Amino acid sequence: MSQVRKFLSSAGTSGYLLLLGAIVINVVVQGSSFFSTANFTSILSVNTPLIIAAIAQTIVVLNRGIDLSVGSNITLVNTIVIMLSNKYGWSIEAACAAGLIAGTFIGAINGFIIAYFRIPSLLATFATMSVFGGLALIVLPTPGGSVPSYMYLLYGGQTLGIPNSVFIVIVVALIWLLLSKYPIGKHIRAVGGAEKSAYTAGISIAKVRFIAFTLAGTISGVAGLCITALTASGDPKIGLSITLNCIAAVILGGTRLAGGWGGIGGSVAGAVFLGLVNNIVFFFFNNFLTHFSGIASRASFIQQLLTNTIIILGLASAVFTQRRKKRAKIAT
Amino acid sequence: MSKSKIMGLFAFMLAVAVLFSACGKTNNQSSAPNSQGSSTPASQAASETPKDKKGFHIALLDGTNQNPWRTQFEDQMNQLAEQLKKDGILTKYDTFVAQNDPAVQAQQMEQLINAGVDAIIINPVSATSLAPVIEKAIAKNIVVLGVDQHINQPKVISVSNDQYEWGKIQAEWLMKQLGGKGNILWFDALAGAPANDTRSKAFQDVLDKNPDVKVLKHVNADWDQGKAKQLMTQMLSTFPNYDGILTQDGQAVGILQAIQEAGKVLPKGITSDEVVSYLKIWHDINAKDPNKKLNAVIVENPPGIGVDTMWVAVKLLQGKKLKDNALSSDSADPNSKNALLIKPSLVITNENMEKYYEQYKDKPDTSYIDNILTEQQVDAFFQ
Amino acid sequence: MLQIKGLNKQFGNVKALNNAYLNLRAGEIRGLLGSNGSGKSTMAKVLGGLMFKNAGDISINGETVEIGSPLDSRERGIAVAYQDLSLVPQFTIEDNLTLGREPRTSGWKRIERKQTREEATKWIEKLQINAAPHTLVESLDPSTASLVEVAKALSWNPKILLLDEVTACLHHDQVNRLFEVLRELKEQGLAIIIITHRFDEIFKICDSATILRNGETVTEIDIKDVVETDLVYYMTGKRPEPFSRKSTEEHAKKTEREVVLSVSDLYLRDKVKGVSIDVHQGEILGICGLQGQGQSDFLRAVYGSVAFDKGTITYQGKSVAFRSPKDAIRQGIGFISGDRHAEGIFPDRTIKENIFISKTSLRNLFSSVNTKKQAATTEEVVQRLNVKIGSIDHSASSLSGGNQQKLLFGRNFLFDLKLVLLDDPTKGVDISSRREIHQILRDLTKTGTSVLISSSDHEELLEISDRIVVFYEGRVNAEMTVDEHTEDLLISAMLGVRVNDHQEAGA
Repeated sequence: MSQVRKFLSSAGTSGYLLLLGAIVINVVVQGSSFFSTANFTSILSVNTPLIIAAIAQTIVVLNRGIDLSVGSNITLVNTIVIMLSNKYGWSIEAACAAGLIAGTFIGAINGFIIAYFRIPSLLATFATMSVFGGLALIVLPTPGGSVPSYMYLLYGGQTLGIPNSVFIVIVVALIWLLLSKYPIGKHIRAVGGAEKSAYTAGISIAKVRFIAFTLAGTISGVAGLCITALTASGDPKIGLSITLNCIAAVILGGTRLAGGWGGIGGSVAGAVFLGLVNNIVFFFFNNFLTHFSGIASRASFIQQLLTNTIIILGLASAVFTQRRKKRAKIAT
Repeated sequence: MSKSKIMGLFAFMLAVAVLFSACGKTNNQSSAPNSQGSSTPASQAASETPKDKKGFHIALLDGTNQNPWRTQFEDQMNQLAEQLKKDGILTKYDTFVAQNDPAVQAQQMEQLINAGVDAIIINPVSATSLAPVIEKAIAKNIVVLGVDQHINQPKVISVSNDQYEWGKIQAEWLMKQLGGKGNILWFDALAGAPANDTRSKAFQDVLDKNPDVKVLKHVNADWDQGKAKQLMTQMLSTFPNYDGILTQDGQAVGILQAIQEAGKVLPKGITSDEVVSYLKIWHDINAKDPNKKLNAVIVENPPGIGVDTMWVAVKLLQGKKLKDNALSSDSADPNSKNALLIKPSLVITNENMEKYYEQYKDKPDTSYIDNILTEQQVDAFFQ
Repeated sequence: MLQIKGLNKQFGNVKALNNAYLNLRAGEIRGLLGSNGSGKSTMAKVLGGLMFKNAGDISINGETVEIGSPLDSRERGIAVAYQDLSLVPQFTIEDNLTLGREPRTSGWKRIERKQTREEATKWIEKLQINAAPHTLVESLDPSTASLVEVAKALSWNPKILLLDEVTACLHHDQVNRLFEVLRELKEQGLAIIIITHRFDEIFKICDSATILRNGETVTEIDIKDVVETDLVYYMTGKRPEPFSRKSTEEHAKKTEREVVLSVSDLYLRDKVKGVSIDVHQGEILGICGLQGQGQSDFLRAVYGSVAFDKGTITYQGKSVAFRSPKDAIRQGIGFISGDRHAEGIFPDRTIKENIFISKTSLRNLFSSVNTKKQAATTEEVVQRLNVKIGSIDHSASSLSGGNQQKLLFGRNFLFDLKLVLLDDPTKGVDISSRREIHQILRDLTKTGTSVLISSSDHEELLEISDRIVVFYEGRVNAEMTVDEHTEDLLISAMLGVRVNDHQEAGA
């Protein structure tokens, strides 16, 4: 009983419960084909960039920041990899390594501005979002390019029935979980939870903040590599939709925007939830509504309405569970 | 967060999932048999026995539906699909919209492949990002077509309005009105957008051949009436002695409003906007003072391209082959010959304006002047 | 051991510390006293490395030191437990205790969880903290959180320990236990500085006292050489006049007056279980009890900031259930909370704005604001309440705790109040401000306003109340009219002993 209560009061609860609900509904509308490896692989490989971006965003949000430049970071990494491998003939491995370094560098620039010039992260990353987005357009003005087929086949493939993209998520998650076992992981949360207290405890706020944003940059870079493998091409606008989606995933996952409380587990669940919502809407139409011609003719509008309604309800319930926790706290 | 808790959670989810899989199976058999029952043979039919020419499952993946042009595009395709369903050519037609998110579009495409569709018509969010999943579809003998926006994939045919031709017809018309010399204001749309760049290039090419026409100012109004109006108001004071206006669509109504509100004389020539409201304004100006007619041109950029593409998809599914000379190269993808460009055939000037005004005056302001290819015209592309 | 000479600290034009000094030996417990705004907390923050001195010398064991950061301070062996806790609420007790000095494993240098837990357990046992080491700090009640703050400071194994008003939220037995531990540490040679407003504690634990007034050290004295009035004299420069307690008859007379507020059988979740009280016109009714017996929830339910489950509230003869504080304010009810930071002051806004916020909230959101009139009224309120301010356009955070509290009184005085609800209004307020606040309350009752006041300090209630009700576990355990003998009864009632005979006398 106390285990159940403990689970219900943990940070990621809302994310896990929403995900569970989404899985149930998805099975209902999709049928048994939900359990096919092809289905898992397609859902997860398509959404892995978002999942990883959500992990990056979580780290920043735990630090009481927000990173609006995640999408631009992903886009810039994508265009850099394609430019280096297509235009300058680098091997794809070397180009990816360069992309990862670029992602880290972007995070470091964000971190530097935010930590050492004390500019609020919302403002700083709003500016860098445009700067890096603009750079991506310079690096690769029009969509194009390609990657060796083994890269996207590997990314979209599976090992022992598990989609390969899942392994990437696991590796990234493990890196953060490992860091959580070190003081830095704890200090990132401490600075987010109560900056003054962390300072009083002798923690260097600027250093911790810098590291948090740099780490988020690196992980966003990984997301950029994933989207490159997924799309097998470069596009200077590819990552734009990820920024807001990954913030939504973080909120769905129960991480407090006020900092200090939450975890990547919930965010991963939140990101998969968002992916499943698209899947649910797809199958809802493909299997049911297609028979009603009146609805089918307005399909695209109803889809948008449905998708966004589900997401808003999800966000509302995530915020609601948090608020109830908080109110219970005040009453004690 | 303890390990045991995570494991427990996984176990719980798995248990619920398995529980539901049983329900899911029965559900699937009863309510959606066609997704597996009829379409799989159909796709085999398309690839193996081309004589079977009926019962196809086609889906449209639209990138966005956030503008009237798109709405008209989807509506017309729905209408044709209903008709083709009655004829038995189609059994299933669905539209999915990706809200400008390339990941969502990729996911929709993956699911369509898993569901065993026969043809997918894509208006891509990103010209390149669907490459791997398109390859997957082609490997399963699914017909993949791009519509309105070129897809950089050698094996995928993209059907689109010929934007270069669209720009060229207008620019040449304007040069003729000016007699090959004079000053013009040039309104491009959203820099970087493929359609904008192609049209802009066509404008430039025509201007290069007319060295006596001087461009006073070259601006981007982003297909936005309000922005065009604002820019024009500014330029009326800086460049009062312009002769003609070269503009992309979605902007001309704003430009005209700016001129009328400032009480200035009409330009010697102004290029196209395909919305019905433009036709109405044009008619009103001419009706007010027949001696001071608006010298304008409309070149179609029809949403009907969607219907054209659906016909192409059906013909391809029925086993027909395109003529070699029907295809050309898109400027964004010069190395492959995979673009089916539909040249604009409908051009409205003062000579035939009243006729089209009568035809369109009862349509809403936001609908587009449209021209759809007949089945026979589409057949002309095929061997 | 610790020597501070000529310490200066300025905020703009305000001198928070002016030539302050302090000399402390190892194994000594020193009380650092002074009214609010006298510079005690500033000195604590300078020693803790949160603020930097403008001038002066600090030397430890004869060696002059510069404290530029909390890390510096800690390396010099100084640990500070702050009044406004320095804990991370989202962390567990154990994670807070080791924050910034996590024990590491030998090989991979990860955080050593086992050692963390052991260390936390050690301090929890030592201070008898009633919570497990893995409890989240945000779920702790204020008294436990204060103890954790102390434990955190102690766990650094300092040579000099500074406790900044940590006893303000503590229960009696918690304070006693803490003092036992402090005495033990003192024997081991720890030098301790305690900042507190509770005089009884000073006499109980301190060996000596350093007294600050307006940022200056007035004197350093041995506690055994002085009595309470001497301390007040040093702090304020005036000899206090003892307030005479009114006679029982006088108190009793008020109960014959008209009933302003009548609450019967009020329930609020598991916090308030069937409370009935009457408040008469011009009466001060005290609510007493140990912490967390439902007093705060009761007051908030009356005020309308939380909804109650069952019961009736009759106000001025009409049955009411305020949906929000706005309704209550409209009906002439004021509310002042001791938790200024969470429920009162807008620290970054000006004094003027802070005074006018409730008043303007009642009006149309877009009605115009007469700034001149506001300024004049603010000046008047500030003078009337004797709030020490630089200018009415300074931010509220520039004021000391007591003055912030007076500001809240000022906010409510803009209305024609029939009833004032106060939830521990003098928490963390120094003795002279406290007396001023008491006087304000007495003045209020003369104009017919009724006062319902809850306080964690029963002596305060004995001093100002006409009648006192005692809350115990969400119920009224006793009700009594104040006379000389009330104190014993009050304390036993607070501890849950039933005292029925007196209840009749009060009713």
